[in-house]
Amino acid sequence: MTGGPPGSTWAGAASATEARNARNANSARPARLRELLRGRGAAYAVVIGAVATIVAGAAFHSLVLLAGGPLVVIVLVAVFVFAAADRRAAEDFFRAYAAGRGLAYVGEAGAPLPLTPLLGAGDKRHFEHWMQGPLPTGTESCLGHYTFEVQRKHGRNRKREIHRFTICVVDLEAGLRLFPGVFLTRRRGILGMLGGEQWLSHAARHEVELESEKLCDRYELWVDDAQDELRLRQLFVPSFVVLLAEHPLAPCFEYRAGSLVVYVEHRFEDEGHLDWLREATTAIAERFEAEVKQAAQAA
Amino acid sequence: MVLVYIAVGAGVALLLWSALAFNALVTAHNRVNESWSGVNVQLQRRHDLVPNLLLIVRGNSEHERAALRTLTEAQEIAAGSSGRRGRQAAEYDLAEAIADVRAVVEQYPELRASEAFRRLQSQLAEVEGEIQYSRRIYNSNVMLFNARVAGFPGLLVRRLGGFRKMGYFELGAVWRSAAASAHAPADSEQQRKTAAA
Repeated sequence: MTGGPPGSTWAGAASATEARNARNANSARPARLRELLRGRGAAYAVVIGAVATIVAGAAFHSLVLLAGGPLVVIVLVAVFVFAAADRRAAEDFFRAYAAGRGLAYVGEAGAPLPLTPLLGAGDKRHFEHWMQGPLPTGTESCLGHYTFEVQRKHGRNRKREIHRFTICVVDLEAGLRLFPGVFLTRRRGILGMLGGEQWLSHAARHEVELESEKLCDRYELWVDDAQDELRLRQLFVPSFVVLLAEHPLAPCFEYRAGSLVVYVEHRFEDEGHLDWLREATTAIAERFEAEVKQAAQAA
Repeated sequence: MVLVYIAVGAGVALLLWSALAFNALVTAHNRVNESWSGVNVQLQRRHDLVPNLLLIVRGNSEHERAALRTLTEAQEIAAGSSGRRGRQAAEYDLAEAIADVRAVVEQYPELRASEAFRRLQSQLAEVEGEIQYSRRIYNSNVMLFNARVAGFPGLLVRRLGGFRKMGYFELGAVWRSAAASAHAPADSEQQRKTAAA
């Protein structure tokens, strides 16, 4: 970022305020764009690029290069500046979001261990805008964007599929023995399964149908074969079923090896949806914790 | 010959389509029955709490003893009731009786503040909330089943399985106020008055 001397117009003093008040990843973009366009970097790039193309045009006796070169340079710089402004605005938003909710913004660091099928899916995985801190109930969590890539070969052609998510990971080690593996996934049609969207292996797992038609229309519930069915039914109490069946985000979750991952197959870049996801995660984590507590009391 | 093939193909497609429609009706019907079992489980949990309520609350005046007697009777009737309509009426009476007993407790601040009653109150609140949700699941399943029965192609195949429209499980205003009071904070005077009324 271009700092500039105090009082100068090089750096956007207003942009810092706008960044703090960012409500989504685009809120601070105009300010960041203004800031970069007024910055020295963009000016130097335009001047140096334009001079270079003019010199090159003169050297090669090319009128096209002389006239068109500077224009191309300006367009290229504008594209780069826009991309940089977009990236910085997104970071501003996530930093502001994290700060407003007692979370620590760690960017791409601190990725969780691939304990659930989703976190170990695909050939490449990466995390962005990662935020760590407590849920409203005090349970530690991580929230951010997650992407996994699958590379497929069809003869000589290589195809790359990218799957993007917003996920919230909570460590619930206490439920490890009661729930060896519970996976609530979005119901997919035949086309979805053929399209390779399914990362959850069905080996040593079986599908369970709960009593709610709405829930069954929306989700598939898969559990490890070792799962105690009675305990599972106790986990899915009516209030929990209704929450999942009617939640506007249709959040899915995976619980395995003491790690709860609540996810939505979309990248949220606004505080409303991120708050919703955190609330849904809180409710799901609380349900698991309540069941663990009840089992402990019964024992 | 071509016409025969077309007729046979159309016949097979029709048969397959009817089978799928019938299967969808059977699945929906099973879900309604499953969700009814879910309602029953929650109602039973509530019945199990009534003896605890009777143990904690002791009637001093005639009016209070009458409220407790009514609760005992209502619980016995509800436990012995069968069928959805019978259960609905009995549970309505039980909810009314519990609301009356709660109104009795409101007159005794010491009792209201006791640990045993507060624990019971919290359990009742949880169970009543779950009953509401299980009822919601049941009614939503019934709505979808009824839509399939009344819609096309369910309309054509419903006679095969003797499927008819099913009724919703309603518990009325008393139930709603009881549940609302159960979810209210313990110190909310206004909510208590509403529940008592």
